[in-house]
Amino acid sequence: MQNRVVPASAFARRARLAIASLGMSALERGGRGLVITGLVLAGFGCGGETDKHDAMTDNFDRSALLAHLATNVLLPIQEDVAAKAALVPAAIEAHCTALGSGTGDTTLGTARLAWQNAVDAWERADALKVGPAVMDALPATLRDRIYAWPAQAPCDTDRDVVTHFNAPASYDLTTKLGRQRSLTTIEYLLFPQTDMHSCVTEPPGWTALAANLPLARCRLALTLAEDVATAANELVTAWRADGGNYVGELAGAGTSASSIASAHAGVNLVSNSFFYVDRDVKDMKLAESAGLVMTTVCGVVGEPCVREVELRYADRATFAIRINLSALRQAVSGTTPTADGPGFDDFLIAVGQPDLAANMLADLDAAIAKASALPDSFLGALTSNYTAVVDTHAAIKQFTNDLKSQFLTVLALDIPDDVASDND
Amino acid sequence: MDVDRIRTRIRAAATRPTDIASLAAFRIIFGAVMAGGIVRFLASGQLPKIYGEPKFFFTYPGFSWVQPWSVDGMYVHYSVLALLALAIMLGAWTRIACALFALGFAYTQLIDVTNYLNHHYLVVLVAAQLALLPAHRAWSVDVQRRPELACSTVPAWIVWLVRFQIGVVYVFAGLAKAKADWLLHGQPLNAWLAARTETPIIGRFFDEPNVALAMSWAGFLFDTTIVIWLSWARTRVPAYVVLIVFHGLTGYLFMIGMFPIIMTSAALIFFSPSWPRVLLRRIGLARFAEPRGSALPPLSARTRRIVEAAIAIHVVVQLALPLRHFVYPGPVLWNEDGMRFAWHVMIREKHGAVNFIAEVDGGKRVEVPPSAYLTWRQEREMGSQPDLILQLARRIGSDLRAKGYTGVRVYAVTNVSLNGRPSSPLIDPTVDLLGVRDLGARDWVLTAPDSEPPVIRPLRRNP
Repeated sequence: MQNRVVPASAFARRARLAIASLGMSALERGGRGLVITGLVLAGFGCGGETDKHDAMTDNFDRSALLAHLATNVLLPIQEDVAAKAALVPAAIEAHCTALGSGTGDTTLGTARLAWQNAVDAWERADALKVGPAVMDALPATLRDRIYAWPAQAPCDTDRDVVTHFNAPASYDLTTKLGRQRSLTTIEYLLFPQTDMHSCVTEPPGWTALAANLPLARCRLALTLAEDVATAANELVTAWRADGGNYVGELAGAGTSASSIASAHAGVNLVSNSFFYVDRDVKDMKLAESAGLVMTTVCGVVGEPCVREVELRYADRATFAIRINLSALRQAVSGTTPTADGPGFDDFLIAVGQPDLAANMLADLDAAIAKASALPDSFLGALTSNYTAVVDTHAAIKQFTNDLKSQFLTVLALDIPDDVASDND
Repeated sequence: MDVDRIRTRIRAAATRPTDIASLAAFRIIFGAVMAGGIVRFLASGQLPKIYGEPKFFFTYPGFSWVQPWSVDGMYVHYSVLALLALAIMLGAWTRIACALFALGFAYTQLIDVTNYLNHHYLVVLVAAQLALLPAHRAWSVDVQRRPELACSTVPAWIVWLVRFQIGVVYVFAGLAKAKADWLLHGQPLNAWLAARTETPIIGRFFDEPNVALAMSWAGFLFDTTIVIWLSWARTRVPAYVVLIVFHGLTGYLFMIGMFPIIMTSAALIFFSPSWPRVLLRRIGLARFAEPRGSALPPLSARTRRIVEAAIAIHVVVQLALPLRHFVYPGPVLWNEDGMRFAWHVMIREKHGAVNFIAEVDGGKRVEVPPSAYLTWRQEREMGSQPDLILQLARRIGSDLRAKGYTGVRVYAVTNVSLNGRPSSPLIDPTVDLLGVRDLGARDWVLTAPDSEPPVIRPLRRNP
């Protein structure tokens, strides 16, 4: 967040007072054509006073905002995802090798940690999905190839474990849906320590796997991890200046070097990503899991619905929520541990809304504080500290109330909608 | 001058033979614009988002039975509409095509209230009128098929009626701007223009003081007076140039779809009824300019009385609908009571956050976020419109009852920002929305904030 002195708009205030003193409230009821005509002439007549220009505008630069966020916030996130995802296959492969030699217990922790680091990196990216991960121009499944949550298909995965182990050459990953791949499926393969399957009827060949089940799961996890690493690399390549250069596209929005029509449109692309905190974090990760809302999965209200909990096998939902909020704060404030530049709070201040900027940051900080107070075990929180979950949900709602209303009206931004629709 | 003489003179003027050319041209252009608009819509990718993704549709009173086809069916529906539009343009089975087009287009709008756009409403009105007016009696396939249909003139009232319909849009769009936010504070144009200082060429002016206020007044004066200038022969051409600039500018700056093209082409009806013939002669197509046929046969006395009554009713309705919000308490921009079908075109920037709270017997309390039912687009529209909030509350209530809950109560917690004001509650959060009616005084809608909208400082253009 950058500090900036905001000059008052004296002329506008004076004009409003002058007009209001003429009793124009009657305009609400129509009529007064002569008065209107006089006022419009007065309004035009008062324009063009150059000394008012500085009072009316601000030096805030939307392109600088975009350049800063693209370069110092968003691109590093994609690079982190790619770097962390690249480490997962080797860790899982080492685990598979160890399983083959009967020493898998020690390597499982390493594989899980590599997966956890990749998921944590992705949670930051998921909270600020802009560009290639959500663009139609690239494979629409790019995001789902890395992290398909909430789509997950444990039973399909169990079947894949068998077929992949028995006939790896005929296993075709490209035909698999997002729910059968990505870091979410790898979680299912690495964490449950049971030989139970998730299907109504046992998958063919399941019993025959017997002692090979851990190895079979590991090998499928390795195949999926290699695909995740590839997808994460495709994503960061699409961002990098020496690749697809989306970082340049976003930073240069409104210039001839970018396909994004204007800096304002670029800003709207970034602000669209903020709504992840509303539907995904507030409504899904918290409300549905806690049973604050009616869900079709559990069909109950007022009771936790474990099946809705993100990362429930690894019990990392609390960490995911904290990371999501932390990433959002970086984009809103423009401040990261390694860089400080213009953020949306500065944008709000620049257009004359410092109170809204302060309120939104304070609300976001309050939500982050509530998330920090959540027990690390989200599953445990649902049973032993339910209030903390409810409080976090309420705190995020406080932030999204402004995000979905005044934030949009003062910045003339729109809600996320992947197809532009007409107005009038 | 007594009343009878006035009536006689009006009737004489109204029945005076007038060149059919501008009416036929209006039909041709309308059909072409509609065909183009529908092709544009089909190519935009919006259709599955609008008709396929929603799990819930907001309906108009009495039209809850209107349901969408499957997505593929909707593609077929719109494709048929495009073909009907081409038929209107060509004048092939024109009246049937117009009637089917009006019904088919109205159907697409009745499916979901959040689809409402003022120019879509205008399209339905115009298509319905063309189904009744003799716009097919010149430059049409119908005349080629049945030469006896050809007419060179129609009574003047027919052209007047179309002019009235287009004029109503402008005048009431202008009167809708006669509000403090628009005329005193330059909102929402201030917020919109402040965000568009980087617009090529003209964006440099948007960071000037007062430009939003000046443009607000310009828009108000344009809308309220353009019909006068278009109707007066001496000012018609410059007025039309201004009209093109106005609609071109608004179409360039704002995402308002086909509205600028529809209005720019429709406004040609204010020109001399013979303007198409003059144009054809000037571009070397004189052979198409010659009138064919005679005057439109006069109506029988009984038919004339029916037509006069129908027109009178239509005119009264068209004047009353946009004015009805004056009958309702509170400002229309806040409570939205009387907002639709009233030509309140682009006069507010309004967003809201809504959460529903449901309580059932036994003390259970559950939140229902709009995302459980609505797409982002629907949520945006519902967030600021009380009647839509009420509809979804009722649906939530009925869903809970269907699950076996009793004593269901549904409340809405709302935060709505109008033209940049700090968010305020729109709906009384203590009122069980299952116990209210949407008729009469809406005491469940809270009063509008009395604060002024903020001034949004435009940003400098980037160097």
